Amino acid sequence: MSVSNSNKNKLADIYVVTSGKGGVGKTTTTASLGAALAMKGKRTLVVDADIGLRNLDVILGLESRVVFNVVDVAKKVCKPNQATIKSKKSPNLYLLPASQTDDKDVITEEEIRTTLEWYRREFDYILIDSPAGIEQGFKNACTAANMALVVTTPEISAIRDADRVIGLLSARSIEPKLIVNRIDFSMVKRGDMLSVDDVEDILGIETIGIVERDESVIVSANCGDPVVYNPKSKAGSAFMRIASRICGENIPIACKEKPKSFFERLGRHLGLGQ
Amino acid sequence: MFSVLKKLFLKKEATVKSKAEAKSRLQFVLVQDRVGLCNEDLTNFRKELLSVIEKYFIVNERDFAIDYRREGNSTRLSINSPVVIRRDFKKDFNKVMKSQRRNRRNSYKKEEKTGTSGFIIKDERAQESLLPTADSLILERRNSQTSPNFKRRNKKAAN
Repeated sequence: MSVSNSNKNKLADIYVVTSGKGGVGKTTTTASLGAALAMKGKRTLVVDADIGLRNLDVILGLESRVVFNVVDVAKKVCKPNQATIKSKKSPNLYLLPASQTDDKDVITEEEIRTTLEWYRREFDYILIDSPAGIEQGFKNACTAANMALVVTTPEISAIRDADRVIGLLSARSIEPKLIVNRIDFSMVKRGDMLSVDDVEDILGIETIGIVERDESVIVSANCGDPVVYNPKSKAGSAFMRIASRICGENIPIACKEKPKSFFERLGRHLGLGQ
Repeated sequence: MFSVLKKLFLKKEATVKSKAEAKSRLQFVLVQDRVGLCNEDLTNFRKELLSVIEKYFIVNERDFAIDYRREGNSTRLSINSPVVIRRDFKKDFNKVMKSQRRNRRNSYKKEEKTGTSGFIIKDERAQESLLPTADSLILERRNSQTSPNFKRRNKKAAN
């Protein structure tokens, strides 16, 4: 891994991607945003903090190249640059995988903070994939972070857990931003799903992105490619826009509804297109 | 065939519109999570707060609302309640209304002879009240020229 950093004086921003509830899309979001930032030319490190249940390597298609992991670096079993895996498809993207045999209490907050301090000097952005819950794993993931991305789906249980997590992040003086995942605008219009405005109003934090429910996310995960590599994917474009906003670009958030013209409905019912 | 056409031309039927229920249930649980009080404590809190406010103001209980909004790590409590007037003012209010009605009747009689304009009594506070105008304190004496009684009397006199 080359040591050169385009701006050596600037330390990387560390984002923790968390949710409280499991299964809402943290790992997908971390992988996709990491890949998107790398596509924009930023040196990006994605860290899997879900010790014992690692998944980020599988989503990125790097599972066969894991040698060392974050626990090895924290316990000084190996050097930091020996544990990171460079993605062949995206030269700016690096993965620091989790251990699969230990549990979440094996490293302390101090150890992980020291580990990530080393990487801060080498990268432009660091994204940490937090485990579900609010126990030691979550605390370890948050300890080094200065920003947070809270992922939620517009469902009652996910929002409740996200609210709790937002309170915990605020107690650590980390300002969270919201990503609403798996929204279905036709259900919102029908009155069967909470809208983005409802979620924003209830949680009281700023939204940084909206990702529509999209089958291509599952297809991409099956193939081990981040969904942002698919230019036709709605979710992929949404993650690209969120990455642009992280970089400071001002892209307004648009809530698009499904078009209701006769031909669109005809196409959908005949199984043509989306 | 007919079912296919039905799907194409008719919109999907709305279900129970569960979003509203989800939102209200969520607000209910989040209040409890944020302030750490159970449902019974929250109900008692609201009742006691209402009784304290009712000692000093007339309050519409249906419109009385307590909002629990998160601010960073803490929760901000906002009480939103339309209040009408001071409670003891109501006794005097009826007296004032009676005397003004008497004055109005007298001034109509005077105007028929002299044609002088009437007076306006306005209470600025009542303009902020959220109750319907019938209960407000704004008493505006209509211009004598447009007073309905005046018009009726003049019509009779003309005829």
